[in-house]
Amino acid sequence: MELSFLIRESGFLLHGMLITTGLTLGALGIGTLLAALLAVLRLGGNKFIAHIAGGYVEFMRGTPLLVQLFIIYFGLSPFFARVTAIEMTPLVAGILGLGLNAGAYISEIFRGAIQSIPAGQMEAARSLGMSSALAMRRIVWPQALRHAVPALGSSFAALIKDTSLVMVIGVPELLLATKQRVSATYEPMQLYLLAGMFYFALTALVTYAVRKWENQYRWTV
Amino acid sequence: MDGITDTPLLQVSGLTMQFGDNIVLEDVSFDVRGGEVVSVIGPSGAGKSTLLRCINGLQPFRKGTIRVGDIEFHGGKRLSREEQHRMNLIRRRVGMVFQHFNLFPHMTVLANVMEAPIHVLDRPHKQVEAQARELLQRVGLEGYEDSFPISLSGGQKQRVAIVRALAMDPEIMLFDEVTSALDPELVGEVLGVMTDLAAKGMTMLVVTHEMGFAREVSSRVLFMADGGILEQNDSARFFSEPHTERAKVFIEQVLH
Repeated sequence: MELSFLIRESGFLLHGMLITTGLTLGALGIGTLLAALLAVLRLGGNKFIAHIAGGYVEFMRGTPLLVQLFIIYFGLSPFFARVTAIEMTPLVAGILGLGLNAGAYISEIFRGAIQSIPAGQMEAARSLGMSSALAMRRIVWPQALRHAVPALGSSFAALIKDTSLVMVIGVPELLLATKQRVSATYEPMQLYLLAGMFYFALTALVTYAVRKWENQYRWTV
Repeated sequence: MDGITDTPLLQVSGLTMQFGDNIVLEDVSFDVRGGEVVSVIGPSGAGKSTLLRCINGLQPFRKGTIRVGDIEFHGGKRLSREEQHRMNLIRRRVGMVFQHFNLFPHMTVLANVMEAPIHVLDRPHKQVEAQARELLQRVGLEGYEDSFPISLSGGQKQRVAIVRALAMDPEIMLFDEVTSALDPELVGEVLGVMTDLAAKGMTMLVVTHEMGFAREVSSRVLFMADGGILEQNDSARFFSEPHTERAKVFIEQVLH
């Protein structure tokens, strides 16, 4: 493996890596917000809404991400364009698909974490005159988030790897960029190894950040 | 006794509560006047803890009325928004201390105490902090302000829990078997704080298995069995001359 080859190709892949990072961050933002909303709706008082949220989560977890991406890009995107006259780029469709999918998985993490907080915490908060929303925000949620951190780390790492799937709708992310370089150079082994190293660097970074996050808690349960 | 008002501060009337077909409380009525310390005693399963939880709105009930000061709350199958709001107002005026402390583990001792006055009553931070520090000092917890609950003993946790409730300036304090989860050698420090509170004129309703406290500190005893109040009397008289057979047997069992 020639060093000059790797350095040159890394330059090409770096652009794909940036897009992969963008995909991850965008999907993470959408996914986390959606997850918090879904978890609250599923645990909330309204049975009907809880069922709808639950059905959404089951659907997203029970169908392949690839199928979901096709539905969004080839199904919903043209429909969206007809209604609003705004074209959805592959990148936007990719972020949306990954985010909607991650949201379902992360909401399960949040739901489990919220349920793991003893009922006595909510009761103590209510007995002090807090509304259930305030008690949720100030007392239950911060404790639940701490419980959720390790599982969130795995979920974030999985999301990074899942971004490679959006190459099928033509987002020039890391894997598609690598594939294009393979076609140009006929060096699949070296290039795909290089791509693997790029992905590994990203997930290692996330793992490290999550461990830092875990360690900054000064309290234990 | 001094300082006890004539008007009832807490009025419970016709309180009935059931889980399915299992009736836990049946037509319970009693008053607690301002400055009074009332102990609720009786065999386990009598509904003592459920009674406290109903008074603080932690346990919904179908029938009956809770009145604290001038706020009245009616139980029912479905609570209107207004009724729920009234229960919230009652909660602000009623302090509750639990058997298992239920301190907030993610907050320091000081933050536990300051949480509700700041976020529920919107009181200024400085004033709340000064009051919290003073209360902690009063129960012998000076120097623990920045500790997290995990590092405290059971007795210390329970004293923090009492202070946390007191920081809301409640008109009445409910104690739900607050020494039952403590190691025997730690019971005294918590009872000491409660005795102190009683002496300062706090109105208290205390579910307890500590007969010494019931007899010496409280002015009146409610004896509960099978979801109802079987007997209520002055503490001294209840222990020396119980009226009902159930009370006689109970006193025999716990005192000998």
